[in-house]
Amino acid sequence: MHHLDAGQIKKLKIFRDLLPNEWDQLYPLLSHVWVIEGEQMLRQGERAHCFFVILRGHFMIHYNDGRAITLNQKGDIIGWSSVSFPSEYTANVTALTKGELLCISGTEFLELLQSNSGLVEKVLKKINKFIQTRPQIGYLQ
Amino acid sequence: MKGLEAISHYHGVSLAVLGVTVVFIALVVLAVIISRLHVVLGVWENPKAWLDRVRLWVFPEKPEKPEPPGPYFDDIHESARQLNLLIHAIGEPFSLPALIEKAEKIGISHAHSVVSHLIVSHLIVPDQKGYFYWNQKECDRLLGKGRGKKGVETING
Repeated sequence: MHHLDAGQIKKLKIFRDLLPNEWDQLYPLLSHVWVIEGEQMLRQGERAHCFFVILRGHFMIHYNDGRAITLNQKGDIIGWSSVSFPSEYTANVTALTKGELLCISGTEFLELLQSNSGLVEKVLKKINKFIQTRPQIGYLQ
Repeated sequence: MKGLEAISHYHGVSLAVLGVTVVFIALVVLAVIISRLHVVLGVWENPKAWLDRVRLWVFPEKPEKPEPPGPYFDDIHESARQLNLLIHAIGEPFSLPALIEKAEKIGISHAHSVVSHLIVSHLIVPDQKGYFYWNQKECDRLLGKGRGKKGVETING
């Protein structure tokens, strides 16, 4: 299960405003993932099954045409395509350093959002805001 | 004794004021309890989350220290020099994945980590269009700061 303290994860910007009962619903969907330097985590065009929240590490999001951005802030989100249509990753993601992430299944996350409209307001708005603040070099993850 | 005289004699006014004060205080206490009832119910329903919150409040966490670079960064200046040469050969702006691929081909060890380190050090900077530049100004600044340190001068060749 989780090796990180729930309190630590709850402090991430994306989860910070959740009420205790909302957090209790979301927490079981999180799984902890470790990656090594140079590991290609996602491939452009592959079916998008989950998205990730960065806990530690530096990651490169890159297109097949060579364009790229890098993310290394705790709480940054990767693989958002898993909760949008069409459900395919729109870029590749490679770990530049070893890293730790939280993985959330897109399908399970969407099911949870459908059953709790409060979460839609709190989580989706934050994710959209986060995506908008990224350097816009095209439609990235 | 009758009327106001009797009231005054038996401290009626003081007792009336005391009664009003007691009732008012009781109502205030009751209002505060009702207004915080949701907190009490929250603790009752999910004591663990609230204990975590109290623990964080009592023992606030110190900001995380950045991880010390790996042992391969002993040779970061040599790797940076090699990448700098490679970037000159590729031309600017350059594609980051292409740079890493070429760096691996010519045998730069831990190319991904070295590139990450150079980005964090602002030696490689994004052009906001998806490509990257070598930041010579920052390189010169770092060289100036580190002048005299063994091996630093080699970055500029």
